[in-house]
Amino acid sequence: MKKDSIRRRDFLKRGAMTGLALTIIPRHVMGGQGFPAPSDQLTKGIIGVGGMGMGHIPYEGTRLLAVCDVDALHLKNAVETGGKGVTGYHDFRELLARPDIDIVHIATPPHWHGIMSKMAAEAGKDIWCEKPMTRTIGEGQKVIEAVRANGRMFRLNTWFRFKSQFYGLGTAVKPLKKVIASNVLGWPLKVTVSGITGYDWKFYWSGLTNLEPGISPQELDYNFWLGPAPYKPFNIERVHAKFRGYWDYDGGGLGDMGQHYLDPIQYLLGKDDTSPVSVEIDAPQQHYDAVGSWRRITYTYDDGCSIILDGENRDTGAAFIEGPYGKIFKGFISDVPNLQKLIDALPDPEPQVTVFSESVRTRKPFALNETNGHRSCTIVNMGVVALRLGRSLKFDPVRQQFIDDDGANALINQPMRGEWHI
Amino acid sequence: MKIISTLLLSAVLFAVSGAAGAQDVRTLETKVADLLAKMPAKDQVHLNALMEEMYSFGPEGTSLICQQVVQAGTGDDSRARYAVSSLTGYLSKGSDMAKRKLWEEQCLDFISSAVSYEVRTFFIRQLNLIGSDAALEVLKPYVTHEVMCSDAVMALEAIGTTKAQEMLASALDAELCPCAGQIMDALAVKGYGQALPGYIRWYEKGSPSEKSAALLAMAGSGSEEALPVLMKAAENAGYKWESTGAVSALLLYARQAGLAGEVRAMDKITTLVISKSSTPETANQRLAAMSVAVAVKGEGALSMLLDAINDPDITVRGGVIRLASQIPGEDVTKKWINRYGKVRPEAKPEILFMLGERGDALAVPLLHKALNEPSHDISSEAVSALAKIEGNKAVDPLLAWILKYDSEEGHWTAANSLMTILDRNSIGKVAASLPASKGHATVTLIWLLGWSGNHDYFKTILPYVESDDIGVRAAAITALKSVAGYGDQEILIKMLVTTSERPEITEISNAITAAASRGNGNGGRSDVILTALDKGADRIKLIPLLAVTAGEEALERVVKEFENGSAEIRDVCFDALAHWPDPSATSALLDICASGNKTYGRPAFDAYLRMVSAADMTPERKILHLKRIAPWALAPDARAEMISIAGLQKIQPALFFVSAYLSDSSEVVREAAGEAVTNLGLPPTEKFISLFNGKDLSGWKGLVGDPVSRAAIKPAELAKQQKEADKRMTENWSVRDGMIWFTGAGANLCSVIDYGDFELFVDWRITKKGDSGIYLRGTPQVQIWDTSRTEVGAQVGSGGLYNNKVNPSKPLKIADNPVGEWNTFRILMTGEKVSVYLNGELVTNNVTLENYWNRSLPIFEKGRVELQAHGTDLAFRDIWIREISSAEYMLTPEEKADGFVSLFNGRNLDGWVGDKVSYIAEDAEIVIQPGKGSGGNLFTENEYSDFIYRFEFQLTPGANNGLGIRTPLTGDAAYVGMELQILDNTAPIYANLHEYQYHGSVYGVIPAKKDFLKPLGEWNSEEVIVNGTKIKVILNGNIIVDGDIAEAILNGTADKSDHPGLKNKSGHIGFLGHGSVVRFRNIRIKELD
Repeated sequence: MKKDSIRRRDFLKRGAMTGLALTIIPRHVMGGQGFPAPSDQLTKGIIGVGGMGMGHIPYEGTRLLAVCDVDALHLKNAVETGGKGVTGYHDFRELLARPDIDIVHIATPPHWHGIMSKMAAEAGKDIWCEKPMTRTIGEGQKVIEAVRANGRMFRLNTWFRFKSQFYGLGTAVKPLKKVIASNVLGWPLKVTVSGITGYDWKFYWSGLTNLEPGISPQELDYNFWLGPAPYKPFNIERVHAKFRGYWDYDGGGLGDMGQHYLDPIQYLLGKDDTSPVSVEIDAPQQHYDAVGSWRRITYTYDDGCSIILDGENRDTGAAFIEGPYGKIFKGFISDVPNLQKLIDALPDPEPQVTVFSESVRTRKPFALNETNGHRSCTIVNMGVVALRLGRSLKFDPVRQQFIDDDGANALINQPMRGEWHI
Repeated sequence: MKIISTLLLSAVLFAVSGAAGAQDVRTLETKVADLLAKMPAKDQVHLNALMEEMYSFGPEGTSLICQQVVQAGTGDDSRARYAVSSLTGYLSKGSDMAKRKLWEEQCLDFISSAVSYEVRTFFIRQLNLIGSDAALEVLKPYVTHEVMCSDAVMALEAIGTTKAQEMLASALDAELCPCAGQIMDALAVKGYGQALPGYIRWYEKGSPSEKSAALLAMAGSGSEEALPVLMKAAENAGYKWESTGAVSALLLYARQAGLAGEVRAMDKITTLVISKSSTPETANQRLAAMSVAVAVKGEGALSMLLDAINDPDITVRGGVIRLASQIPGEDVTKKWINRYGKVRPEAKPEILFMLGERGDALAVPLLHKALNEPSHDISSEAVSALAKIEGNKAVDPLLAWILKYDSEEGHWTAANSLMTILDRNSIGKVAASLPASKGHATVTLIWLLGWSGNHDYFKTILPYVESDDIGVRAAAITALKSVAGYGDQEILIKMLVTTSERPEITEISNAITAAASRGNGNGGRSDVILTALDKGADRIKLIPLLAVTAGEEALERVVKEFENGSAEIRDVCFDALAHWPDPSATSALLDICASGNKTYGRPAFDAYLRMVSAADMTPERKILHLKRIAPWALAPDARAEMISIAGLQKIQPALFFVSAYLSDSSEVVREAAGEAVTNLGLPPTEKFISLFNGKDLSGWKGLVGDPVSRAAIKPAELAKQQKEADKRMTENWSVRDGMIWFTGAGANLCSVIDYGDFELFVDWRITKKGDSGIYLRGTPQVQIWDTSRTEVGAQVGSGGLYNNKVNPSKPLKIADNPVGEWNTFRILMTGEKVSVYLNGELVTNNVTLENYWNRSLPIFEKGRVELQAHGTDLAFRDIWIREISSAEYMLTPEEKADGFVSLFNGRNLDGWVGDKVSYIAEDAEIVIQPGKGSGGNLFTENEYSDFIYRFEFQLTPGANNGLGIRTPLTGDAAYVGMELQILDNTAPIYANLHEYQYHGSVYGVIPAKKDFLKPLGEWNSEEVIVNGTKIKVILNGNIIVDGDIAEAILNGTADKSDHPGLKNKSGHIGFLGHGSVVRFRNIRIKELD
């Protein structure tokens, strides 16, 4: 399982041992007309420098030029952390207007992701966006359009489809991809995401009902923070570390972790260009404002493959992936004999561009980009819509519309407040 | 099965509808309150049923709910808001338009009538899902309203009809239009063109964001008259990006026009934008323009792309490559192939990449040719593309390419591609190519063989370890660990012994341990290494390997080498022990620590703690390990370190362990212990009493007879026999080193005090062939024995209830530590039931302990804890007990004397019948958890006619339950019996109730006084006196009901419903669930004659 990644490292290490430099970046990337020489770092600006955004400062060693936040304290802190040469902005549009910024990182709450991604693409920026990609399916389609039309590179900030142990599953995705490609498990496949298979649905991101109206602290421009979201009286529970608990901005643990968990599954199942045809929920009645918990969400694809989000770890013996002829459990334990040998004999999956600065320099799309990112985010958003309406839904993955359900379709493109549009 | 599921379903439906449908005599207010009390519904079935029920109330009922929505911050209206928004969601599906329309009308009424903006807004937002043209008149005044315009505009945008758009457009002409920008954004989405003059006016006079919206709306309209304004705006922006998005708007216009057939206008604009966007910062606008052309003209835009691929800016070329993928077809592929020869060099690899993505076999000849291009960028891109198009067929040309070119970077690309196409069969071609290779090509091929993980290639790679080329040598050595099989260890060990290069030693060591792990059961992991050591191989190099391969023999060997070796060997051995992969090395480390070794003593202590801390074992076992090392925690910082690890084990024994250090002589240790106690966050130790003081046997006495025979002995004689028994006790049981020792003869050691329900912790240790047990309530026993004694069945492990005949006597699993090591029991006994945890693992789960002394009787209510003597040496220590209080004992002496009996034993629901799924006994309380079942009723098994009934209860917000009296087991108790309300009537959802529905009221018949409930969360005590037709209810000392049924029904009941149950002379008493969490305790009754 770890074999391939270790060997890749070995290959590099071998270079170090012999004193010969070995690089995985083709030479034409390293310098030449129209793009910076290697000594010239790429530059970036970060929008949203609360909890998540501060984590973006060190990413890939790109040079930070600007930060933006509508909370003056967050902004001050980020400018100080960023050090010399970092300018702070209150309005992200001023940051976008700077011609010297190559990459814009978007680490705001999700209700801003779509608007900002589209504007950044039109402003000629490459984009590194936090998950979930967009708060609605419609916003995701707009981001794809804008990024493609403007020839931008886009990466979504999750990574398990191309590196690292896949959360608590105890394995990386690559060997799983090889097993699935070999068809040894048969078809269709059932994937279970739960505590049993190594994941946590983080139901602590639930919201509170009946919030008391309050006054926002002076440092926070609450109206700007809300942006496109409907106006609701301020309460400290809505903002900063708590926003995931409210449908206007995110979708609870499903919003927080859903794309982390589901994106690699779309990749594994080879569903990067489509979506499930149905979503079934087992959940209590949801509040219109505050996100609640759920017990189970089941997605089914047209070929019978399914993804089960088991929120209460009910399926105690669940395999992570189960096909008609075999299963793979957490820790890469399988009932398929000699699985490792079988994998060894198989070719690797297609290589992916897994360093964003390489994408930016070569203009080859990043492994997880606006197109497949939108499809995995659609799984999250299908679940959100079904939960909010309290019913199971059918979906047309080509038209990207729910079938025979006006209410569900009304949640695909939601009106925006004030001057914001996408 | 079918019957059961049908019953379950009807139970669900019944619970949802609240009362039997046929004779639902509740008032509308009650129905509304009952409905709201059930929100949020637990699942879709319940939600749908609630929504249908809510709708069935009609406008009168739903408006009772809508009225309860209050301005945020003025009360808890959560349930009303749940109801309103869920009904909106429910009806939004669109399968029943008539219902949706009626509900929309109701929402519109509340938009007009609500007092606060916040509540009006709440109802306006319902229209986002269910709004229609019917809403327009109501929304009209709000479209230009200073506070509410944004919500009104959002609702109109969602309604989306032509009329809604017209209403939005007309607002643009209003004198004051605070939401003009938002309105134009909404109209832009629809491409609404009739308001063009309005857009232009707002563009001229508006704020930057209004200008932006106006441009967008103009672009969306596709109207010719908008074009000059849009062009002018883009020019004003200098054809650069700024926040009004003028260039994007212009291109959007071009796209609309193009798609509407105005291709020439589109061409004109895109050409203009391309020519104006010549700087690097505006390169994306050139692409955006081309993308409009591609969207409108398809293949007709190809020439533009073929031209732009020669752009000096890589971001433009990259965008062109992606746009090109939107124009499929073999003809198009041909054009790109033809174009290849005429573009700038940088564009060539990019075109090859695109051809690979297109996957068109037409490109193969070009790719073969490109393989031989001198530019590495080009040839390596050809390699990748060829693998993509040709798959396995590309293996041969790629291998040939590797042999032909000596380019490290190119080889890497080729290896990456080969990894995607090589399989079991074709990997042989790599091995076959190896002899003909040289230099870095050899490195690459060796690396691919290593990647294959195929053990057949160990021998293929081996000769290259001797290569003079240092790169080849390194690649071969690195690959060994992937391909070495178990049988290759000897060769590798020889290699290890002869090498002196540090990196090579590391790689070969890894190869040996990897090979050792591939024995597949045909050889132990350490066997080959140990044999080599026996033959005298280099110990300095081999001993560290044992710390990876591990195993019992390896451990013994390392310990031996440590004891006898030179200083250098001792260092290596100690390092191996300290990094042993499992906790089996703890004993060796403990020995080093205990030996007082100056060099290794403290490091051994630290390694021991590290090992225990990281080990995959229960916290109980970790604490046992800590107790083992504790005597050698000499330095204060060592003790503190040990205590902090104990503080991470969230179990009671950890608290016992660290508490002993609260009075340590060192302040550092006392602080660490205090911190650990806080970290543990367990209930304070005071609740547990130590049964053993560590010094003597106070608290214990000798054994006389058994509970049955003892009861027959006269007191004087018993005292005499006890004295003799106590004397014998001191001969066989002793205290040494903080332990109780038994030396193999004599009788049980008994606690002085008798215990009923309790939780007991005890550590025990047996010797070989050992046997013992813990007697509970003077009765055998929780079994302790050496699991090797298979002749008596000890292989099942300790912790079973050995003497049980009917109930389980064997433990669920073996959780014993090896004989000679300490074990921890946690024994829980409540009622007749016993649970045992051995070393943290549950081995006996809630099993009845049978009465060994008289099998016709249940187990005694109380008795001693005894440590069993059984002929072998034993030791016990750390004995702690906590008595568990039971509701039985909550009867006051007065109540006992007065003839009250307890109806609830505090432990289980014996004596009760009905829904034992929703109602559970927990911590001496009866709790109703409606989530677990249907939330039904729980009745006394017996029937009562006249009585005094006392109980305590605790409510949750909005809780609704009832006390049924003189009621049968089926039917709605409020009518077929009597129901005394148990209700949080302070909750807002009950604001409209009548007095005869308040807490304590005889439901629907006799009213109760309000306001005597204690604040939510506190316990209330209630006494109900039922005597003939008289009923009196005393709540927290206040009489809230004092009535006579006979009088109350003289002129008909208060709720005008039929209550046949009032005539019942007797019946069950029960708790009547209505779907809320309520707790009860201390339930007593006295029957009246």
